[in-house]
Amino acid sequence: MRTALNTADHFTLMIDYEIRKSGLSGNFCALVFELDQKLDPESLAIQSEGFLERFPEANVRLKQQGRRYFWQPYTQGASIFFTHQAKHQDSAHRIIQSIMNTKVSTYDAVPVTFHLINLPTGSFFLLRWFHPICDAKGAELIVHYFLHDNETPPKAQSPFTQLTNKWGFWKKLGMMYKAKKHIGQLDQTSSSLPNIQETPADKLDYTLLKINVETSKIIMKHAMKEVGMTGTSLYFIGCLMRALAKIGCQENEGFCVPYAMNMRKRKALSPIFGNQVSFLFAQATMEQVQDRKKLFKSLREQHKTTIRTGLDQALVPLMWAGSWLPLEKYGAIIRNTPQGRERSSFWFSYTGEPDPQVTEVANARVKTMFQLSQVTSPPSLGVLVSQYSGEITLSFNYIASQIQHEWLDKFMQQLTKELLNDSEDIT
Amino acid sequence: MHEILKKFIFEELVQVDDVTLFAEQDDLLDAGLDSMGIMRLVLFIEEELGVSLPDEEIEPDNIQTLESIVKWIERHR
Repeated sequence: MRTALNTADHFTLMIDYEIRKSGLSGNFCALVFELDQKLDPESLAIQSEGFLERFPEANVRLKQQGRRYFWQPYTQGASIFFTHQAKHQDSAHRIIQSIMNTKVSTYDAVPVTFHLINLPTGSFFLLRWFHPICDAKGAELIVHYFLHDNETPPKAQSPFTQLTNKWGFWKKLGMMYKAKKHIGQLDQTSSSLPNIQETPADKLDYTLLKINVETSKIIMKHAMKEVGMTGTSLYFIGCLMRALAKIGCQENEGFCVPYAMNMRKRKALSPIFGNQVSFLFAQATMEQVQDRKKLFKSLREQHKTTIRTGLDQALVPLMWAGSWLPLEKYGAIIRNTPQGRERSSFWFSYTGEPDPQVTEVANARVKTMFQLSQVTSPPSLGVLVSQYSGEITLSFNYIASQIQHEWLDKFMQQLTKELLNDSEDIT
Repeated sequence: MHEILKKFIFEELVQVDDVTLFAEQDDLLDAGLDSMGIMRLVLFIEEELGVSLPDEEIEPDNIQTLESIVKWIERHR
């Protein structure tokens, strides 16, 4: 039986269209676990077959009918598990890069694939997913159920659908108007973007900034001090804004950063498939960015007002309306201001520790974990922050030809200073 | 008040296997009350109970358990 995409799935499909339009592979993301030993691929291959039997929702392909999109069961046999061999860390990095950059049409994209990259001593276990099938939380759950074949997810209605079903037409219309007005207000401040080379986008690359447990604790203490218990994401976003401004990205009036908001209840072990997220924006003017205290106060106030006035949910009916537009038109509205400028300064995600925690894969201990995501050009940069056993990892995902290594190094150095509230800037 | 808070927390914010087994002193943060959830809870208290809780007091000691939330609310009534 075919399954319709929900409004949030459709949003990620629009992003897929925009990423492909930029010349990249599409809206693919990955969750990567670095393991302390190499693995025998045999047992994982068997586990992947079992996974498809347990979760036929993952054995589908996208189909279009008019302006609507569906998941159609895939009846031809196909493997979703792949083994790769790397001689050293650099070649493992290139393999991971190629997994993210493999070009295949939207309608042939395999929604979920597992990859084992064996090194002489150690390995990487990678889950790549096509974003319209699930969100980052769903990906964590996929890994959990892949590794625990004796567990069955509890039955749960999609919180996203549950929420949208309870609104009548007029309520949706009112919320849509509110969201549109909100975005109109955001667009009054033009967004500064990273320094991008004017070259065609070729492929996604990534660089990791791994922070040890002790330093991570210090950063979380600063986050607590500046934005309290209610806004760890805001701390990272604010520091990223300040680091960008300090290395010279301040050609426009401020920064505007989209980030996702999960609608599942915390600790919920289902639903696995279907995106259950809405999105929010954090915005600050250049004047606020210059003053650390002022910036975090403003981001905190903005966040609170967004929730108080129901703007977090108001963006959902706007997404619903967008889902009836051709992808190209929908994409242009979401990405661009009426003046035709890119609204997003960079993409951001903070997922914290995996939940449920993944301590081992086929008896190999997990050393670190990070995430990857394709991005559009511009802004050509996405920063995905996660934590594993207390260690923060920042994954910088960028378009290789457009963002230079030297620039990224400088940005990462300045960001580290901002996260630690070290007042001495890099030169 | 306990019941109103409990209903909101477990219907909207946190997933637990059996709500009836969740005691007043059990740790809500361990159970999964996250930053967005805390913000929603504070605004819910403001709107439904008419008690305004200062931002600077949003800290683990006040949020950790149902018991501590109730005490926190009582201090500002």
